[in-house]
Parts: sequence; C-alpha cells; structure tokens
Amino acid sequence: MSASREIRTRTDLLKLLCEAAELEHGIACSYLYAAFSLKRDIAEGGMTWEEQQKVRRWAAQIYFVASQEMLHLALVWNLTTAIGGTPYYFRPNFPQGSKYYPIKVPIELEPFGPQSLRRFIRYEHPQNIAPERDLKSLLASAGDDAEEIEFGSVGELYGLIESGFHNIGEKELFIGSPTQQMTRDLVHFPDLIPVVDRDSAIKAIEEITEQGEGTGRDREDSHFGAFVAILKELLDSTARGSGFSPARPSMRNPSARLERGYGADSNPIDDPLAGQVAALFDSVYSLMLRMLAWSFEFDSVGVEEQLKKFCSVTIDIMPRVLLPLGEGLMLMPAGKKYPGKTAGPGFGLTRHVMLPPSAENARQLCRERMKELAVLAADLLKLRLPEPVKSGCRHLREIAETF
Amino acid sequence: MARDFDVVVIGAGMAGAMTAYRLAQAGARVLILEAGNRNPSRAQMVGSFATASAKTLHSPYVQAESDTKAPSPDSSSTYYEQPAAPHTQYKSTYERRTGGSTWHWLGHTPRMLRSDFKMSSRYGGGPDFPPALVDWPVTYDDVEPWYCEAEREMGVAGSHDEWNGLFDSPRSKPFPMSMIWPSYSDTWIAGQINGKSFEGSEYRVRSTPSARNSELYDGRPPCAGNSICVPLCPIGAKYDGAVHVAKATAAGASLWEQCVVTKLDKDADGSVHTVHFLTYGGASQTVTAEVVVIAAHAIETPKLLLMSGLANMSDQVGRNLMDHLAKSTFGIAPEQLFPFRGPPSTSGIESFRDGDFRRARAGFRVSLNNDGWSRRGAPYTEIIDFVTNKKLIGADLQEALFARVTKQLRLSCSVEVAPDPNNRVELSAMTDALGLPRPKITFTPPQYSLNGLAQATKTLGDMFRLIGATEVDLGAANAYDGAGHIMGTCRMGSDPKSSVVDAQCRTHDHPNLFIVGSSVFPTVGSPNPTLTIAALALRAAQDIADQLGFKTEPQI
Amino acid sequence: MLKDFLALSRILTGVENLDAELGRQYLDRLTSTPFEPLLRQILERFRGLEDDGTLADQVKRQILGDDTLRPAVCQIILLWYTSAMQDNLGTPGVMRYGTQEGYFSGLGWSIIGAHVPGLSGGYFGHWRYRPDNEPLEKV
Repeated sequence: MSASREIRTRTDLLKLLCEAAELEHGIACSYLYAAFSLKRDIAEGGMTWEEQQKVRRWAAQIYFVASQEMLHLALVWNLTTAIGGTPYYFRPNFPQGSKYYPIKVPIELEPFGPQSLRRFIRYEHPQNIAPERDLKSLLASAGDDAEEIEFGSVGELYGLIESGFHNIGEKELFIGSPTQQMTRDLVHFPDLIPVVDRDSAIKAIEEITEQGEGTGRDREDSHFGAFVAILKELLDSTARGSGFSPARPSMRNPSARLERGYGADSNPIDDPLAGQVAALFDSVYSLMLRMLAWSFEFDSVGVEEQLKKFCSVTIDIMPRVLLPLGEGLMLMPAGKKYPGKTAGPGFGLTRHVMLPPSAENARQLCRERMKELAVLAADLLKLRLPEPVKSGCRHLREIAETF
Repeated sequence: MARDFDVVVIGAGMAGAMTAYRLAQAGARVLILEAGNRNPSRAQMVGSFATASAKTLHSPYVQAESDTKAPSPDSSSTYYEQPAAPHTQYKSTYERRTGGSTWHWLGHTPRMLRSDFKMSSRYGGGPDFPPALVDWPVTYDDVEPWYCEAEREMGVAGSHDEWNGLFDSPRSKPFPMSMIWPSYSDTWIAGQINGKSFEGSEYRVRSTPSARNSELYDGRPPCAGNSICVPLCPIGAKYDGAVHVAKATAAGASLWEQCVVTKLDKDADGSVHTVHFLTYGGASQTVTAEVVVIAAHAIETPKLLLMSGLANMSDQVGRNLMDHLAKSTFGIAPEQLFPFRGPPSTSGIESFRDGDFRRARAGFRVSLNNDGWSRRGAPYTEIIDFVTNKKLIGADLQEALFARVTKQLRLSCSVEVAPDPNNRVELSAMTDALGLPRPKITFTPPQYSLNGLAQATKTLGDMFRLIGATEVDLGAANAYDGAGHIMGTCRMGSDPKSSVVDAQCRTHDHPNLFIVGSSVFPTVGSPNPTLTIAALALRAAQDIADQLGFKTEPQI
Repeated sequence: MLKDFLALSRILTGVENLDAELGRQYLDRLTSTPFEPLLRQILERFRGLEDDGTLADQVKRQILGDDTLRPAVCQIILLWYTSAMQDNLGTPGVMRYGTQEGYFSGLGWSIIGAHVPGLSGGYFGHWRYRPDNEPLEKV
C-alpha cells in the first residue's frame, strides 16, 4: 500500500476501517497476552521485591496501552457505523502471518520479553519517520538484526483512512444515524468520540494516531514511547545476569484443544484441564464481542435499557472474568508436549452464531448462552485450579445469574 | 552592581521549583537554595515505607542528617512550639526536602471558586462574619488562565463537563487529561444519593480533579492504583515538586541542597539582595541576587522574615495562620464497597462549598474515600479482633474479614478556616540543631469555622443515613484533624498597611522580594490549595521576569 | 520445626500455598521475641494432634481455644496476612515489619479483594469495578 494512494469511495473506506478494526483488535490481544504473562507475586520466583515493583508497573502500562487499543477499536467502530457500515469484530486467529497486513510484522500471542517488546515497538512506530540510530541499536541489543528492520506502521493505514474522510463528500458519506453512536456513558471511555460528521471523524482518527505513535513533541507519552522505555529498562535489568525473570513461561500462540478452526501454526494446549479453561475463555470472549458489537451497531432508540445492560455486562466480563481466566491459564501446565511451559488464552474466534437484530431475541440468545457457560464454570470449580481461574469462574456464574 | 545570580529562590518545593523553572527558561541565572536533602530513588523510598513501623507521612523520607539539620514537623513531632494537648492544636505538617511537601500530598487539585476571592464583598457585613475574611486583590477571572497553565504544567486529570461553571467559575480550557475514574464505591454511593438534598443543597458526586496521570503524560505513567499516594507514589503517576525541580535544573537553574537560609539583608533603599545560609557543617555563607523569592512554605517563610526583621510594616507576617479543619467519619455500608483499591479518594461533593450561608458559617468540601477504616487500624484491628475475641481461623477468618472489611467506609470533610490575626507563627525561644529558632504556633479555630464543621458533620451523618450505613461514628463535636493545608501567613492585599504582598506576590516593603506559596492566601475557601499555589507561582514568575527584563515562554 | 510451622500455618491462615522461605523468616522472627516459649508450646501441642481428618477442629479447640496460647496464634496469622507482628499485645500494639519481601507478600489483602498497599492493584481504572480477585462467594 503506497502512501500516494488516496481513498475516494465508501467501499474502500469501509474496507480499510475493517482492516483497522482487525488490527486494533489483534494488537490488543497481543498486548493482553504479554500483560497476563507478567508475574504478580514474589512467591512465583525470579523476582526480588524491587523487581516486583518494576514488573507490576510494566504490567500496568501494558494493560493501559491495551485499553487504549480497545478505545481505538471503539472509535473505529463509531467511524464505521457513522458512514453506514457494521462494526467488524472478526480477526484471523493467532499467529497471524506477517503477509496478511501491510505492517509486515506478524501479530502473535507471546509472553512478555525482548522479543514481544520488539514487535510492539514496530507496531507503533511512527509513520514516515526513519528508525533512529538509537532505536536500531536498542532493537539490535534485543535480538533484532539492525539491517533488516522494516517499519510499516498502523499509522500509515490511518493516514489513508483520513484521506477517505477528506475526499468523500460529507453529506453523502455520513449516512449512519447519530443515535447509533456509542458514547462514553455506556462504555466508560472518557475519551470516546461520537462520530457524526467530518470534524468528529478527523478528531477520532487523530486521537488514535496521537496515542499510538505520538506527535513530534511528546512521543515519549505514546504507546511507542512507553514500549521503548520498558524495553530499555528490561535490558538494563537483565544485563547484570541477576536471574531476574519477569514473565511466566507461557507458550506461544496457544489454541484450546477442543476447538476446531485454528490456523495450522497454532499450538494446541496439551493438558486437558488447561484446555477446558482455555475453551471457556474463548467462549466467553466470543460472546462478549458479539454483545459489544451488537451494542455499537444498533440504533439506541427504543432499546436504551438493553444497550445499557449489554454494555455493562461486557464491561464487567473483561476485568472480572477474562482477565483472571487469562492470567490463571498462565499458571497452568501447557501439557507434556511443552515441557516447562504454561498454558495461555488463545483468543480463539471460531464459527459462531451472530446476534440477531431483534433486541428481545438477542437478549434471549445471550441469556441462554451465558447460563450454559455458567454451568461449565460450576463444573470447573469442583476441580483443583489456580485462584485466578476460580475467581473468573465464580464471577462468570454471578454475572450469568443476574443477567 | 554585579550579583551572583539574577534570582535566588529559597525552597525547592513545588512553588519554588515552578518559579525557578519559568525564570531559567526565560534566560535568568537562577539559584535554588533548599534546606533539606534530596530523596533517594523511588524504589528505596518504597522500601523504607514498606518496613516502617508506622506508615506516617515521613516514613519514606527518613534521613537522619537532614531530619536533624533541617527539621520539620513531619520529621519531628516536637518541632512546633505549641500548647500541649488537649488544648486546641495546629495539626498540619510539611516536609523540608527537595521537592517539598508534594511528595506526600494526596494530589487533589480543585480550584478556588469565584466567591472565594470575594468573601467580604459577597457575604460580609453580618454579625457572624469574621472581619478578616477579606477580598483578594485578584479575581477568579484574573487567575483563571493561570489555573489552566498550572493544570498543564502539573498534568491534571478531570472532567470538564462536571466542573465547568461550578458556582459561576468557568473553565476556559479542557483538562489536560480525562478524569481519574471514580471507584466502585463512589459509583454505588452516587447511585444512592445523587439528586437528593440536604438543607437546601443537592448531593452530586463528582470525580475530583487530580494531578494524577490518567494516561501517559510528561514521561510519567498513568496511575496503576498502588493506593499509597499518601505518603508516596511508587511510580510517579502522582505529580510531585521534584518534577519541576528536574525541569528547573534542566533549564539551567542551579540547586544547592543542605543550605538553610538564616537571614536576608536589607539595603539602605529597602531592597533585599543578600541571602545568608548555613550548611549542615555549620559554615555560614552568603549569596546575592537581583531578586529574591521566598518559597519555603507557610511556616518557614514567615519564620525567615521574622528572623530577618523584613516585610513586616503591616505587622501581618506570621499572622492569619490557616488550615482546613478535616474530619473523618466512619460507617459500615449495607453492601460491599471494596476499599483499599485505587487512589485513597477519587470523588467528592462540591455542593456545600458556596452559598448565602457563608454570611454566618464556613463552607466545606466533602470527600468520598477509598481507604476504608485504615485510619482506625483496619485490617490489622479486624484480624486481631477476629482471632483473639471471636476465635476464628482459616476459612472462617477469611470469610469474616471479607464480609466486614469490604463494607467499611470513611467519609470526610474539609472546612474553610477564616483568618484570625491571633492565629499566628512566631519565633520560639527554643532552637533547632543549627541554633535557629523553631516556630511557635498559636491557633484556635474560629467559631465561624466550627459552625461550618458542625454543619459538615450533620451533612456526613445525613449521607450515612441515606446509604443505610450502620455503626456510624461522627466523632466528637469540635474534634478535627489537620488537612495538611498550611496557609495565610503572608497575606496578599492592595493595602500595604494590612497585607504583606501585593497582587503580584511582591512584598510591599521590598520591591525585589517576592513570596510564592500558600503563605500569600488572604482567605482559603475549601479547596486543596496546591493548584492555586501553582497558578499564582506561574503568574508571579511572569511578573518577576518582566521586572528583570526577561521574556517567559509565551503561554498566556 | 519449619515443616510443622508451615503445616500449622496452613490451617490457621486457610491458605494452601505458603512460601517456605517466608515461613522460615517468620519462624525466626517469632523465636527471637518473648513469644518464643508460647510458640514452642504451640508446636509441641500441634505435633501431638492426630491427623485423622479433624486436624483443623483440633487446632481450634486445643490451641486457639487456649487463652494463654491464643495471643501467639494471633501473631502467627498477623505475620502471614500482613508481615507485621505486634511489639506487645497492648492496644494499640506497635507493629513491626521484617523484610520488604515479607511486606509485599502479605496474604491478607487479597482476602479482602485488594492488594498490598504500595503494590499496583493492576491497571488504570481497575478500581472502578468489583475486584478481579474476589476470593469468596458474594456475601
């Protein structure tokens, strides 16, 4: 995709917005996986109390960046519905080949470490700027061959999207209803912008690129800057050969054994119990995505209560079910095929039923599905599981009960 | 005559550092003199806190030499000379360290309201109105652009919609960062009380603007809920004065630590150019400057002026010592609120800060707190009680703790203190380790404020009632804590006969001597003072630069 | 001695996974205080109990139930939950902490759905929601 190409049709613009949605979504999962893998307690080993402070700070920052990617996804969905499209929540399963996107960097699920940080830096690297020498040498000391670094960043994609919003006539473009737009009251992002015209669209796009790659003056406050700082700190901390090991030995690109539909390159979890928990994670994740997308897509008029309910449930599921399940999986064995490794969530999106436009039917389907998942959770609770997994299961049951 | 520096700033706290930063940026040769030492690394301070027996304000900052040679009420409970308890006491303290007291502040940055600058004009004249509750010589509109500046410099997170226009006090710019998210507890409480009223004022829970990052800002991370803002932010998400000390030195200012200023000399023409200081070894040194700025907080500043016999034609130096009367009240909520998470306070109620009632009694802010009953010793006291008295162990103990501690709630208020010239800082006959006089404090809260405290207590009682709390403890009638807001001792005014500094923070008596910090507040309203301190310091820096012929970075 | 101390501590705290290294630190701290003779008595009595499936109840009756031993039991639990020990048992007792590792490993905070003060609770905004580590069924 060359920078000189301009976007002039709704179709092209929607295509790019779908691509942006896939990217933000996939990148968020990649960040979450790394954050889940960071150790919490000194008792896990490999950390002094000072190192624990560092590790917790890194985890907090990566979660924060992930949350901003989710905000970016929400903005992209608002941009999409504003011009008559439907929020796109699909994405390829992991690992995603590097040829799939123009950004030339594969999106993978990998525990925290110099390798994953290098990838993160490349996702967020500012467009149209050659990598500086300092950065090249930092990446080299983190294992990258300096000569071969390619940066094709997400920023370039948004440049094209922005051109589309400039080139296409405002009146003909914005055919979505303003009452479809998701607002910050419903999804708790104070920086969420409802998109209703060209100005708000440009604002939304600028917010995304500023947070990701930053602007000239304050790049250190961007995602890019944050990852560079973390990588530097990590390399400093491990340089002295101290035995500091901040991350759990989680596997790469796991897939829940019971699900079909994963790419050939994923690694099926070999431990049956971990596989069950990972499958539950995927099911909850899939349901949550569908509820969220439904909320973004449908006009709020007449269904405000349901929208509110769907949004508050999905927002509850993320920190109280998905987070503890995800973290907990990294405390469970990956199985005999992966000696020394722990499991992890695959964020698997497999064949599923999309939610219907009828609010009542959508609610019925969700209620039933949630009850089914609650039963699975109840069964799991009878077994020996790490505490976070148990917490996640308990919360899932509680949410299902009050849905 | 050639001076050593263009500007000497006395005190490397936030006010002094911001002033020094702006002046150094403008090209002035600046020296900051700090009585205390610098702190070790943040990690080391966290370590000190972790093993400290009592998690006091000073627990991360203990340094034997600095604590002895530049003592403060934080480092020594006997530093103030005050009547012994149970007589009314001045309870607020401060640090003497590079970076100052903002190391251990909570981080709240509400602005003063329009009325707060015009108390006498608006509410004065009645029999219960304290005559010393004067107008400021500046208005809210004068200070408003500087509030925006200060918010940008510190990095303040807040909700523009919630705060714009509050009590006729508009905001001309959005907050630099969107708000610190309210806690689960705040949201639950808001659900119970929003829209209801108490004696004419409506309850509305608002997120509190704070100098606490809600995103990556100024090279510092967003808040991660370490929950020990007081006394220390382990990750630097909370702003502290050391941020501007670093900016000042990066802009070229010199910083000399362990230098305790003992005296300023006046020339024949009334100007002050000579600064005497002691090093910890006892050696006496001198430095000269075109302009001298005192930024030593509201007790050391008047102390220095009194020691030097300066700036006091008005006889107001050291007088009108103020604070906010703070009160914590406790209860058990009917549902779990999950304290001990997030910053110690994320929301408050502003409804009671202003109104006609200020003719007869003080206004107050209400804070919703996320620290449960920690001030009463929770969860330690509960663990001990459940094991020793209720004989619980294992899962039973865990359940009991989970059921009880998660419902503990603290609501608090911060009441405006009216100025009273008899509340004052003087020089004690007792001296510190360097032979310098300690501060002698006289303080009795005025009736105007005690009336406000009584009303605040009733209001908190009503809030507990509305949420269905049990075991409510509203404390003894006139009991209060210090809020940590030391203010008023070198008041600002247009009349040199009744004030110490003018509207530019320049002392009336000495044209090149300035004071920045909370000493200059003639009245205090009910907000935490730090944002106002920052706004006035940035504004004063521009005036000082103009006076010296330098151009500050164009912001306003 | 450490093995018994850990086994007893599991029953007292209700936590299965207790760090042995931390246990050793806490045992050392207890044995270097006036609680030492009480601790010795407690461990002796504990060793004498039958491991017949009712161990926890026996501990409750015979160790916790003993008024002279209970203060030391309280110290043990306080150590594991907060890493602090009371200087004496006056009210309020002065709290003494050991190492920073100990402080940041306090177990009591997750029991109330929180985190050790000074350690990050997770990520920006997590305090907006109920805890992700809520340990027990809703009360």
